[in-house]
Formats: sequence, structure tokens, C-alpha cells
Amino acid sequence: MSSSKKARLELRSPQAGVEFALLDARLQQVASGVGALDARVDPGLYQLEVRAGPSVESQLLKLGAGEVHRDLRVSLAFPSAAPFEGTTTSYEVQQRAAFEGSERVATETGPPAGIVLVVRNVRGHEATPVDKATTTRLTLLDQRLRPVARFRSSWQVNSNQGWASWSRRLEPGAYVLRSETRASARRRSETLDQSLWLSRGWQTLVFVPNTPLGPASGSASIHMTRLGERWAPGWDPISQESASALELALWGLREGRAVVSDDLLRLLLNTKFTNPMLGIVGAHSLLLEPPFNSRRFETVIKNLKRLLPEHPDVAALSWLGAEAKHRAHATSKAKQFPLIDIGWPPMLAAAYAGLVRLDAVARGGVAPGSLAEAIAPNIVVRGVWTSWRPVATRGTSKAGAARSIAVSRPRPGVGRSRKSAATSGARKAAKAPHRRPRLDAGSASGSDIAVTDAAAERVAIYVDEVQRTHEVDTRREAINASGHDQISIATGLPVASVERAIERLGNSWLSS
Amino acid sequence: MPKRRDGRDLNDLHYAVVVGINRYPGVRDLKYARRDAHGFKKWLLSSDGGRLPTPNVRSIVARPRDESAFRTARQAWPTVRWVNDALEDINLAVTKHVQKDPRCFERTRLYLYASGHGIAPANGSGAVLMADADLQRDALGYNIELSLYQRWYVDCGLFREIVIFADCCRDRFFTAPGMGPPWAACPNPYGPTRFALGFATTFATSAFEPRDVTNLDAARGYYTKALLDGLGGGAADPAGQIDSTNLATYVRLSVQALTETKRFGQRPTMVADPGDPVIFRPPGGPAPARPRRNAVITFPKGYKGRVTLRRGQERTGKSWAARNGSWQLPLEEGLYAVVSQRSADAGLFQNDGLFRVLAKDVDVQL
Repeated sequence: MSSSKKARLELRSPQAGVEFALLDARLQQVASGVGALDARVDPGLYQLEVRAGPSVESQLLKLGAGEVHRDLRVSLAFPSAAPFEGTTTSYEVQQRAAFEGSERVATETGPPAGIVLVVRNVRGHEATPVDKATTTRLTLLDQRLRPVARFRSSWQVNSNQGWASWSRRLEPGAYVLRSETRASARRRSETLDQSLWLSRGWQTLVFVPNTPLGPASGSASIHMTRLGERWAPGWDPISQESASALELALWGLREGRAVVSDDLLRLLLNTKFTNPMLGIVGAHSLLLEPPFNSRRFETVIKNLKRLLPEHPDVAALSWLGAEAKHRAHATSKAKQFPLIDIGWPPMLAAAYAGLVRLDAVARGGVAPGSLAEAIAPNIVVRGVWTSWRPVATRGTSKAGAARSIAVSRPRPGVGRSRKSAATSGARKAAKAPHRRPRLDAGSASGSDIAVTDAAAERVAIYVDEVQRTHEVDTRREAINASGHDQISIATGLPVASVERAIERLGNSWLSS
Repeated sequence: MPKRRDGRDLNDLHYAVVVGINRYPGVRDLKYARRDAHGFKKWLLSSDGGRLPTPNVRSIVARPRDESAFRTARQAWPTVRWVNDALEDINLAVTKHVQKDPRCFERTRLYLYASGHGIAPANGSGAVLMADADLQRDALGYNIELSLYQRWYVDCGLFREIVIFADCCRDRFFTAPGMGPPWAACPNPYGPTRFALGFATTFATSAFEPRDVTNLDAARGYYTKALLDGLGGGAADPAGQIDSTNLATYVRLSVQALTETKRFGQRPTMVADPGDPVIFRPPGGPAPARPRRNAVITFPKGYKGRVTLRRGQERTGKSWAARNGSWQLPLEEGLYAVVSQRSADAGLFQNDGLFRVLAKDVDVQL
């Protein structure tokens, strides 16, 4: 059939990340695209699917010979924790609250980083109360796991409009967002921690949907904007496009799918990110997209390293890129993996999981004795963000904390390194003898024991299974048969955690 | 290559472990998991399906009379050990073949199908609970975490292809560990491994999605039904090929259609490389029959004209006089259009006369 007899379908969406799929009368996918679809097809019956995050719309089409079906403004609203136009979950008053919080950070004086935390009732959950009790379910902890000063007192709460916001300039570096939440109405409230990293010269905006079960920080959206600029998607097309692309890329990550449109690529490859979180999340999308394009990925990482030189997610991405390259081209050698050793957990769970893999493969990735190591047995998979049940640390003392953070950020007074903190940590860790673990099984509180038990229990279950499978007499033999690396991979624990867990389990356990 | 009795080639280096668990003394019993596992096994062995030799399929399913003796979780099986033993036997068998003749590697495939209770554990994306899992004792670590198995097999490169299907829930369980395979990492993979990893539902991560769905068992079975319908021909392209890409589309659409009236729809996922899919049925040969469903087409009130039925561009040769009332007919799955023979009637039908037949019987109100 000549092309003139074909039907044409021309679709575009202003939202970078809207997915199109065209199915023929046998329900076979005949064309697809992200952000746009331009297809010439035989006349006939088709099903067009448009997808934005979890929102899907289907439409049956009858396309005649020579017919052109054109829609250059396809738009599909989708839910988002961040309040902005084009989502199903936004309110103008809540948008304004976010804009104002961001403006405060932009205009106030203080340390060279900032955070805007917004808890809000998304559309459909209007009846959930937002009040002081809501805000007390959240705590912001600093790198020493101590509550940030004035966090309790400086909230702005508007119960009628269903939002609460806290915004301030803070020192750049590592933070923890602690939340009290429940997994379901029948389960008890649980405390969960989540990694945050505030970058120098940037505001980090954390949007947490409020639910009847508590602030759902696992479903949060995190955006960034320059420290002196207000986050205001909708006020200019680029920031609106970035915000929308970021949200759709986050939805893709939640479902393990690459959502990489040409528009997203354009945004990613642009060296002037307005929202570097899009770079971080978009880079994870690139990792999911077959075939892996290492050159493109490296361009994104190069841009990110320039903008966020100390961010643990950026450091972790460089390893994930090397891993993907290694998988794509089996000739690459393991020794080509970058030497990194991260002390603070990256914000994205995929990045953290990658570091634990690196630790097993190349004995690096997670700095021994750091928080990044300590949380491994407590990791909770509940979304795209790295979350864990709180680890009890003996040392909330200044000295203990300083030891921990030394691997994740430059020390004050030494001068700011242009290398990522992760990398500089790597060099230190590589030279230093084995670090003394900060968590100690028998010595501290009950919660300390619980922490160590979590790792030991996981290792014990696994080793018992290996022992049964290999039919060996002792667990020691089972461990020898499996190897610490494999135990690390199977249990999702860094190698150092595995080794210490085995140590804690003791000789009698090993000999039986 | 060995032949079946019907003369067709057997996939002699394809292996499978099929797990179906109905009885969970420590959790809650299920009704359909064993039946689903039997259904998948049947497809594996059939000459139009997987064409595996019978000895290559390890079925791990307790019989009802075995299950009646399981009073406590500790007495119940199958356990993780059963699955690992079966997989290990297969690993050894395939290793032996490939060591003998490395060219065999290209023909190796492992299927792992599991149907039962499932969770999204602390360190994974989807784990099938074994029969000895126990909610009361907080012992949900008795599971096989499928993404860890998939990763081990991909890293190990023992098989050219790995296919994992899990018909289970993926409720979040913050505290349960997901358990990976107990074998050491393989230092020398035979080659790259292509994979397809299919789950019956998406990982429940969003606050915007239901979080209190306590009975996803009601949805259980939709996935395996769609999977078997797709593998049986529903997913085939015009050349007859069924692969992980068109199967994923078919299963997704079918399960969505089957659950569209439910309060919480179910959306299956399949992780596979569309550029390098796993092929379940190569192109060529007699085209597999697509599933047929009953359709009842009801005409607008007062409409008495004659209509024909089109499928895509094709005329189906079917016609009907509306004065005879509703039109009932069996139809292959696909997209259809009811067309009035009088051009003056154009635009009279709802949705331009278009309708879809998929996964279930359909009532069409024109």
C-alpha cells in the first residue's frame, strides 16, 4: 500500500513524559512514543492509550485512508505530591503556600542552602486534618541525627486549606526527615527515616502528601531550585516543563519503567538545569531505558557533578552508570568501577541499592561504620526514596558524629573540595584501616540490639538456608561455600555489615 | 533435538520450576494458586506451548491430602528449600550440558512460575511466601524474593534466558526480609542472559493508590488467566510470534479489562527488554487461535436496519438485521466496528460503532 493511502497520527504533549501507545485491531502495539507520537499506519481500527504516571486514558479510533488524526496539545492530568498546574491533586492555595515558602528561603539571609517542606492534603483527601499534630509527626534531623533547631516551632499551618509548611535556610549537607506513619489502618504507627541532602546554592523542596495514616513521606516529591530563586512552576514554561517531567519520571521509577521523551532528554542534556532533581531522577530513567546509552548518561552526570558536586546521589549515579556500561558491554572490567565510598545514604533507593551492590562486587560503595552502612538492615522499600527504620546510634556525641560525616562531606576548615564528598571519602577509606563500627551490639540500649539483630537475623536465615541446600555440617562451611560477597548480595547488606553480623552471631553459632 | 510424539521439536534445554501454594497455616489459605500453577505447567508441556520435556518441569505443589496434615506453619510445605533444591538440580543439569557442548547455552531457558501469597519485602520488589511463612511469628522471611533470583541468574549467566512470572500480591511489608538464592555468585558466566520478570500487580508505592486492599486474592487468577490466554495465542502478532513485549501488552490490557469494574484495578508489570525480547512462540507455522468471547450487541431503540461487522480493515462477512433484536455472536479478541449498510445511518451508533473484545464476554450498547 502506498504511503498516501496510509492514515497518519500526529500527537504531541506539552508534558514531557506523557506516553502514547497505538494498538491495532489485534491489540498489537504498532507505534509508541513518549511526549510525541508520529505514526503512519494502515487504515483501520486502533486503540490509542495515553498515559501520564498512573493515569491512563484509552480511546478507540477509526482511521480512514489518507486521514490525519492530529492533536498537538494532548494533556493528561496525573497525581503529584508537588502542587502545580496540570496535576489532578493541586490546589491554588497550596501552590501559593509552596511559592511563599520558597520565596522566604530565597530572600532571607543565612547559610547557603535551604529547605521548603510542605505537607498537604492532595485532592481527594481533603477531609484529613492538617494541624499541629500533623507537623509533630515529622522531624528534621541534622547529620548527627539531632533535631534541627526551631523545627517544631516555625511551622505555618492552614487547616482550612489543608497545608502546613516549614522553610528555612540551613547548612548544606546531610539531613534526615523522620516521619510517623502507618502502612495501613490496621497496623501500628511506625517511625521511618528518609535521607535528604541539601546542596550548596540550592533550595530543596519536599512535598509530602498528608493521608489519614499520617504524612506519607515515602510518596513525597522532591524538587530543587536555585537558592535565590522562587520555585514557581507555571510562572515560566521551562520550570513548568521541568516540574512535570520530574513528576512523570518519578512515576516511571516507582513502576520501574523508563519514561524518557525527547523533551526530557533535551531538559536533561541542557547544562542549565533549573531543577537538578530532574537530572538525578532522569538519570535513573536513562538507566532503565534499553539499550543503555553511556555517552548520553555521562553528559548528564557531568552536568550534575558541576551543579551538585557533593551530592551522594550524583556519586552513586556514577557507579550505576559504570555498572550499566559493564552490563551493556561485557568486555568492561570490574576494575573500571569508580572508587567511591559513601557515608550518607543517597536520597533515591535505587542509588542506595546500587551502592550495596557495588560493595559486594568491588568492596567499596558504602563507608564502613557510616550511617549508610548502619541503615542497611533497616531499609524499608516503600517508594523511590531511601527509607529506613531508625537506627539507634550510641554516638550522638559530637565526636561520633564527626567521624561519621567525615566520609560524606568535607570537613569544615579544610576547604571545599571540588570532588564529590563521596569520592574524597573513598580515598580516605581506601587508605585508612578498617573503621571501628559505630554500632555496637551488646553495649547500648535495647534499640541498639534490635538494630544489630536485624542484620544478624537476615544473615542467619540466609546462612541456614545455604547450609541446608549445600548439606554441610556447620554454618562456617556454609559461609565458606557462599562467600561474604554473595551473602551481601542476597541479604542486601554491605559486606562490612555481613562480616560484623557473622562476628556477632558468634563461634558457637558458626560451629553448629 | 528430541521430538515430541507429534513430531515437533522439544525444547529440551528449557527447564521450569512451578510453585503453587494454597495452604498457608500461618497466613491464610488461598483457593486458586494451585490451579493456576497446574494451568501454567500444562502450557509448559503442551505442544502448542512451551514444549518442555516432562522431566524438565519440576512442579512444587502440595496435594490437598498433604495439605490437610499441615496444622502449623512449621509443618507446611513447600518451603524455600524445595524451590532451591529444584533450581539447584536444574542448574547442575544445565551446567553439565553446557560444559559438554558450549553451543547448547543458546538453547537454555529457565522458567520460574510462582503463585501464592506475596509481599513486597524490605529489600526487594516482590517475594512469594512459602507455605511455612507465619504472620503470627513475624516469620515472613520464608519467601523467595524474585528480583533477587532474577538478578542472581542474570549475573551468573547460567541460562541464556530467564522467565519469571509471579501471580501474587505485593503488599508492602516493611519488616520482612526478602530472601535471595543461596548459591555463591558465579565467577564465569557462560554468556549474557536475557530475561522477563512478570508480576501480577505493580508495586504499591503511592499514597494516591489504595493502600488498604486487604484481599488482592479476589484479583488472583486474573493474571495467570491473562498470561495463559496470551501465551495460548491472544498475544500473537500477525506472523504468529509471541514474545515478552507483545505478551506484556496483552496481559496488561487483559488484566485491566478483567478488573475494570473492581474498585481497585490491577495493573501487572513485566520487566524485559523490548529490543531483545524473550520469544515464547517463533513466527511461522499455523497461526495460533486467538481467544474467543461472547458478544451481545444491542442496537439503539427503534433502529431496524442491517449492519455488517468489521475488524480493523477486514470485513468479517458477518451481518445482522437489527429488527431481529440484539446480535449475539462469538468473536475473536480484537477491535471491531459495527457498520450500518445505509450510509444515512452513519453517526447513529454510540462511539461510532467501535468496540473492543478482550479477556471476557462483552455487552455492546450501540
